This record gives sequence, C-alpha cells and structure tokens, in this order.
Amino acid sequence: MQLVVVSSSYLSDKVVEEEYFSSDELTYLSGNFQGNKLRDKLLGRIAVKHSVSENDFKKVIIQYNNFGKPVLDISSMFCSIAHSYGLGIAGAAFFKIGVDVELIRNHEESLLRSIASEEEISLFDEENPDTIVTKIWVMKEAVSKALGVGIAYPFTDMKIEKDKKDYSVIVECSKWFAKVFLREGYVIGYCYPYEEIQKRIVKITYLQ
Amino acid sequence: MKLTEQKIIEIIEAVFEQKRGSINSATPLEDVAKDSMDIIEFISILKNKHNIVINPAEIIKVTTVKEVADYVLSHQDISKN
Repeated sequence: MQLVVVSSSYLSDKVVEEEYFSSDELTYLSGNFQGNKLRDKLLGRIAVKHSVSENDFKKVIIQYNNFGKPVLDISSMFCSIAHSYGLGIAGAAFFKIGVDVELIRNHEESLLRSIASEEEISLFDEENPDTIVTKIWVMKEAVSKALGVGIAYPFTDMKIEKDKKDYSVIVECSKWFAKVFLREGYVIGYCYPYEEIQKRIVKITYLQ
Repeated sequence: MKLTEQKIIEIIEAVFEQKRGSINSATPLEDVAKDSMDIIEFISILKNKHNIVINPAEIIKVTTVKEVADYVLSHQDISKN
C-alpha cells in the first residue's frame, strides 16, 4: 500500500503542475475551483497520481463515481484522496482503503460527543481535546471513505477498539485496521480491511 | 428563544472562525465550511445549544448561508416537538 503526502510548498514550482496535469485537467480544475480550494484539489490529485505511478503522472485519470468516490482508470486498484488546509494525501492499494487528513484546530466540545462515546474517547492518551477529536474524526472519516458512505453515515454507528497499540474500527459486520499519526500540526490517517493486516506494508512518501 | 436568520449567521461566523460581519446570506456555504468536519460541528452546536436536529445529508445539499438559515429555521419548531 502506498500513501503519499503532498504539502503546498511542493506546488510553488509551476513545473510541478505541468508534470502532473494535462492541459484539459488543469483547465477543468482552474475553471471549477479557485484559491485555496484549487490548491487543495491539486495537492490531492498529485498525491493520488504519485501513489499509483512512478513517473507517468499525466496518464493517471481520476474520475468520480455517483457517490463522489474517486476511481482510477486502473480498475484493479482502489484509491482514496483527502486534503485539508494546504496538505493533500492519497492512498492506493489492491484492496479497499480510506485516507483522511485534518489540520488540528479549535473545536467545540459538542463535536467530540457527537462523534464518539466515552469509551472510545478513553482509548486516546492525549491531553489536548482538539487532538483527540481530530484523531477520532480522521479515523472514522477514513473508514467512511473506504466504505464510500459519506457524511450521512453517523460516526456514532462506528466503534473504535484498541488492541495494544493498534486501533480498529467496527462498522456493522466489517472491521477495519486504522492508523493515525501527527505531522506538523495535522492528523493523517488511513485504514484498510482488517483481514488484509498481513499485507500491511505501508510505504509513505512525502513531497514538499 | 427562537433563532433568527441573523442569529444563525452569527453562529456560522463563530463555528467557522469568520470575522463578525464578514458573511451575509448570499455567501456560498463552501466559502465558510472548509470540509465535512466543519459541517458536523455546526450541526452538533445546533443540537446541543439550540435543540435543533439537522440531517447531515440534507444540509450538504444547500449552497448558500441563506439556504442554511432557511433550512434551520424551518426545522427549529419540528425539533422541539
């Protein structure tokens, strides 16, 4: 499994855009998004192109299905894209995966209570409640993306468990291995089906 | 106390850390709510502080602050019943 993290400084060189995007793709993106939204879209797309190709980035075509989930023209691979405040990430694998990233920022306490139970909150050691809520969010959002269910699926219907240092998320009949980590003020996370745990060789590439 | 459109705009400004008076009813929602975490936080505040229950699947269909306000105002009486 390949995970690619791209920071906004990577975009400062105009050549990068020309290396990753065809003129059609750039025209589409710049015609539909502006400012920071365009920046984050570019970062997410660079991440996913890098996660499935070593150098032929322009040929990686990203489409979206009816549920807004990104799909690759390489039909045998699954991918997931996320971006937050100038950081883009993507993962690709031959099994279902989900990724998410969030900048740690101030949140109302009610958000934590609306997405997690007391039992789940107790599984996290951090003192900062904003870090805890962000970790729980990223973990559950990654699973939500892997499932392709989106914002309408209640996070309270997902249950986080912890076994030694490993976290997993239970959703109905499925169990997902979930990993989150901190990097420069962001929480980055990914997940994949628990039965794939033997294949958990995760290569992380940082582009900055 | 019943919410008004202006009060909802003030809640949105607070949740999304916007300067007071920086948004109005015509402001696109995507200009203030950067991602789904912001949306769910807004919904959790409406529920906890104002006892208004909003369906996330419905609120993501709206495009402007005015549409958010209209949706919330049309649901505040329903939620309290």
